[in-house]
Amino acid sequence: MKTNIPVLRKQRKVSQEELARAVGVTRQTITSIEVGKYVASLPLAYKIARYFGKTIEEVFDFSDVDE
Amino acid sequence: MEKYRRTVITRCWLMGMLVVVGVGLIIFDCFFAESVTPLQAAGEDYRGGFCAGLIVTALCSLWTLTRALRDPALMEKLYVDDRDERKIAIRAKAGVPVILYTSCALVLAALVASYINQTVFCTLGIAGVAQMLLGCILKFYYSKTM
Repeated sequence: MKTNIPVLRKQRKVSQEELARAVGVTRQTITSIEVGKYVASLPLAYKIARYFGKTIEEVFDFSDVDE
Repeated sequence: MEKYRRTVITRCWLMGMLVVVGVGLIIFDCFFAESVTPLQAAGEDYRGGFCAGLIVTALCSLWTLTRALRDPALMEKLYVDDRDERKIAIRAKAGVPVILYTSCALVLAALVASYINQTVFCTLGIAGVAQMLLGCILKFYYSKTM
């Protein structure tokens, strides 16, 4: 799954470590989500979206998810 | 976090108990085992290595846990590591909880068998170690692909 996390992080000058600490996961988890290796759970996706002040759809790209 | 602190304290006690068990096993092996059962060289080596490994591992964990009790930053790191959803998913996919319990049971059974029968001891020991290795390989594989 594609995400806008790297773009949002760069816009706000937030490091992976800072984001990870804010949402209560490890830095490796954020890296895996950013490169699309790991799909975040709904609570984590919500926390990340809330951290950036966006909706989940604005942070995560659901276009490749089957209807 | 206070609840997790209590969990860490419980873990400290468990590690302390493991050290005591390890030392107890070494003392039993040195002074009493020969009077209970005829000792075999391979079993003796296994028990020695097992106890040494158990003590060293428990002491290392104890050191980390007691450091975490004094250092809030390390405590937070341990807390996040414990509850990180990706790590939990990796452990679940690799079957770590089941593999860990069955491997521990096999290794402990091998420890008991080392006093009784060489063939049973070797079979159980090899099965336990092979299972642990499989768990490690799976965990490594999933940590790279997830």
